[in-house]
Amino acid sequence: MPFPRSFRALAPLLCALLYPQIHANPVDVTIRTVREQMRFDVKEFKVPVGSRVRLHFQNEDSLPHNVLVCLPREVCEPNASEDNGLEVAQAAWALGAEGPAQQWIPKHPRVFVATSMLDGGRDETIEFDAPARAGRYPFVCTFPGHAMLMFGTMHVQADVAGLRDLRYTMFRTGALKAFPDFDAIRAHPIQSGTLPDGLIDATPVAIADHYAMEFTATLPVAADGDYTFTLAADKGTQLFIDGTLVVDHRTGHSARAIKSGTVPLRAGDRTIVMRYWHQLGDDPEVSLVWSGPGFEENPLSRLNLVERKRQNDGDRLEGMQLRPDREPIVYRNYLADLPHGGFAVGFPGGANFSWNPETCSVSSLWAGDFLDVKAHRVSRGIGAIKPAGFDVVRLPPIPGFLEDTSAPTQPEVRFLGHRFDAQRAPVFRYRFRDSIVEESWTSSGEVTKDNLVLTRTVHLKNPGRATSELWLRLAAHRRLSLTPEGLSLDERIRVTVSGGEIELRDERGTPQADVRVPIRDGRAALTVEYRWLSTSAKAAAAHAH
Amino acid sequence: MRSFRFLPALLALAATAGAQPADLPKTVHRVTAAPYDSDLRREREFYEVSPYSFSDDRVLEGAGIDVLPDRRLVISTRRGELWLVDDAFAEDFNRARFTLFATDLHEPLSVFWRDGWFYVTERSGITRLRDVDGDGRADESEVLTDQFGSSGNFHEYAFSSRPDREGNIWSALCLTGASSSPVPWRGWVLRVTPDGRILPTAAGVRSPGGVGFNADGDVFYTDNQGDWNGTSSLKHLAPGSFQGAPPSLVWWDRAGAELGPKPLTPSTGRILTDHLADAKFLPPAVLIPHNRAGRSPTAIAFDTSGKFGPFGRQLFVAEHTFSQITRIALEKVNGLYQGAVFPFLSGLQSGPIGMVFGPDGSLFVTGSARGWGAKGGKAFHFERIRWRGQIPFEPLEIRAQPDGFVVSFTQPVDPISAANPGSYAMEAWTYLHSEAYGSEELDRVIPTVAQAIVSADRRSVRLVVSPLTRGHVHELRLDGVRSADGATLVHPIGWYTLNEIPVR
Repeated sequence: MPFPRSFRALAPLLCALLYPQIHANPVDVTIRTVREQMRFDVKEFKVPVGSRVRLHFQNEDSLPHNVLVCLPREVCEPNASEDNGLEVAQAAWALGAEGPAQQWIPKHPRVFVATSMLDGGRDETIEFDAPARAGRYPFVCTFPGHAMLMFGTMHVQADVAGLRDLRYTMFRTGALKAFPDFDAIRAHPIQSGTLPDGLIDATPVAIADHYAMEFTATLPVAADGDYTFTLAADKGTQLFIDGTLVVDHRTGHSARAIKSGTVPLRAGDRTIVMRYWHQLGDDPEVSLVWSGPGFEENPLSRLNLVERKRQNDGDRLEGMQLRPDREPIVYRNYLADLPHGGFAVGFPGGANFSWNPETCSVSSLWAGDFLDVKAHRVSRGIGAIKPAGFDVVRLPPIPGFLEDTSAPTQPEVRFLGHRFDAQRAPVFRYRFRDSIVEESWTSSGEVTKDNLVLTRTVHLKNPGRATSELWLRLAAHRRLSLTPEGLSLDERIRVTVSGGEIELRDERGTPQADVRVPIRDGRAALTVEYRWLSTSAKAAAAHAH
Repeated sequence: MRSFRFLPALLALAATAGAQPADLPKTVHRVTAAPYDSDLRREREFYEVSPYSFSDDRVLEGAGIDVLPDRRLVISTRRGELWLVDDAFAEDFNRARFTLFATDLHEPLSVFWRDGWFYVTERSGITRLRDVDGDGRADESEVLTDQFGSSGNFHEYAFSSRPDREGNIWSALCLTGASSSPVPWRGWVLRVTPDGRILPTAAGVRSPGGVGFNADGDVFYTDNQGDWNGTSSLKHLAPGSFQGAPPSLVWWDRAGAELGPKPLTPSTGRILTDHLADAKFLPPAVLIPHNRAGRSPTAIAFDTSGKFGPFGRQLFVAEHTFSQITRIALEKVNGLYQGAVFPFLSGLQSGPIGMVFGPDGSLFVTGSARGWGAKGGKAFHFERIRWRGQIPFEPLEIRAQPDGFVVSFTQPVDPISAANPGSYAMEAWTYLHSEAYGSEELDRVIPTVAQAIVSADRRSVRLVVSPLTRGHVHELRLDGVRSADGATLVHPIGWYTLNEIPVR
């Protein structure tokens, strides 16, 4: 495990900041890349000031990546806002043809330490001493183009002592509507005890439905200064220091909302009292973290809800994109406009649609990213998911087939199921009257090239003898226009049909686009093409974002 | 009208041995329940629990599970997948191998295999799928029914049984938000026929966690504590019955005349009196005391191999929040199911949702704690439980008697300790039956064990108990009972739901 070259090459200016000390036990940190997602699995990690750090980097992606830790930007440019290492990465990209030979590590004063540029499937461990100055040190991958998504933060923190002599008492409260009066509930203790590891915990004993807890402990304060305490819990909390109420977070809601308070504290042992109220329904969760001179967000509880919220927010920002890389993806869950069993289908080129099995018709069409399914994969999976891409055309629910284009009610369709074709694209099957319909979907072109097309082929077998006329309804909404080139949907998609002719008519104020289905020998076939008019500029903008 | 409805209830109460005074409901006193803590080490002496160790990058939020005739397993997940599992019966459980079979399902919580098809319960209905071209992935799916109304609410869970003797699948549909029924058949149990018709079968469901059979082929489901469920329970699904939560009754008139008149909306605040006011309301067969025996029951299963220990075809019920499995011994008294729930096995790694027995008596459990915390601590799990071959000393079953209970044991008892009434202790209570969320333990009674009479074969003990309180759950502690070898019971506790007191 050699020291990387770049560490020895640090500018003298920076050496003054760094007084590495030797620590017997290194702090182990593992960073992995996430396969085909262009991101690190770790967004941040903490190391004590001056500690020996052993950084293990595993590249599980197929592309080459490295981890380069930078000095904070303000070290070079006082008062400059942090750029998450982008400036250093751009210096790496500027190496151009020289880049590979230098492992894309630029000569830049902010380079602190870096792994080698590793090919997919490789790993490497480096050891280094953390800076002697507390702060946020960004890390990035410097391979050209990666730094926009592949970055994180190394928090260098002062060593902070934890709670001593932590005790809890649990009180029975009965069902309450508001934060309990602790003077009153003191008469109903259930249990008390110590928490030897010095971490506040709402579940040291049996789970019960209605209770309150009081935690008392000694908090060693290393230096005079301003300290911030942040509370979060499934119900209300209060924090007292030396008998003074510092954070009052009494609430009847189960919001896990976060509330902070800042107080000046003198060095020495302080007495801390935290009160917590739990009611039936939620998991008991309580969290307390504090920040002070030279350290940030040090947890004093077993759970750190502040960190969890940040991770959740970060994930929400980042999302969990479903990416149809090699073959189409069919996703079934609650989707926008489709509360009952709707399907979404994404093709590798960037064409997507959703399909309504209640009406057996198209619900939405969109280009670019398919779906961000994060909402369905965290917590209880709540909510309907919207298209992740752009040029979204939403079609109001319409019956797919009609026998009479002006009749207000239409014969029912019945969804029968779907199968996959050889390209793993879905073929939907449904019944209309006594016809069996098979509807297959393919896609061509790419979102980056203005040639994106979805093709829907509809085959009918055994159209009923009674059917003299049969129509396929393409759309019925306001933003339709018919030109010799085809039917325009919201001026984003142009629809053309082979095997039939589109007719646009006004039905009670709503334009309706229908195609007469040609029936021959008990069979009929139509091919509908949905062509996006222009996608490349928006695709580039979406990617840059 | 209201007083008229009460009259039969009061008359029936007056005629009931040991019943509460007629001024129900009235709280006697309240106690915060504490969970029964099992001795994990002793449990593991008799049962081997093998958790599968997942690699970091695999997420398998198991929900439904079944065993195929070729000894592969199928697991459906909350993420909408079906996984096939090979080698799950190998001595080393970690040799199990997973293949992704399908990814396009809407939160499938139940799955079974039948005649080449995988039947999957999605939110909106039941779909069956299969692999036609033999590449190991599903490529054809057919809608069996899509008549499970869904409105987009995350709580609209659906659980199904395997087919019954007529080939019908029993599906229990959770209320929207666990509290209302804005779309058809929320809060109902439907039977889905082999040709895809739905038969509305029972109303009054709140939030099911699993549907299954007992050895006689009768159907049960688990319902979760909340509105109209003062505590969680195992409920018997007789066709035409009402299970106690009224929001689903809005669809009664649509359900068909064969279900009979619409049940009365419960109004007395107690299960017993609501049942006496209208017998269509079936009291829960077994109440699972909240926080004592569990908090969130899910799957139901029983063993047919005889290789899972001394419990015959008793029911095992998975318990999500406590990450454990409970055991239920049922009997029928005056035509109603009732019985006892016992702790069985604790210390699972996550919140179990699906459970199935293999033909060799292996019990497979899978689950996920995402969004619904579970004691085990892991986000999801897949575990195998096997009997080690030694018989644990346990209370086998509790049966009601006109003047008490008969408790049988898995091994002969020591006649001295077992005949000592001081070896036993009892409490009895009931719960609120109302739209309030959950309930305290109410109307507490402390019954006395006057006599304990050991049978000639020393396999059972008749307890003469007074008073018996109809409608109450009776907790029986057996801490003083020893086996003939001097061993203590592995779980010296059981909770018996006394819906009916036998006459003889």
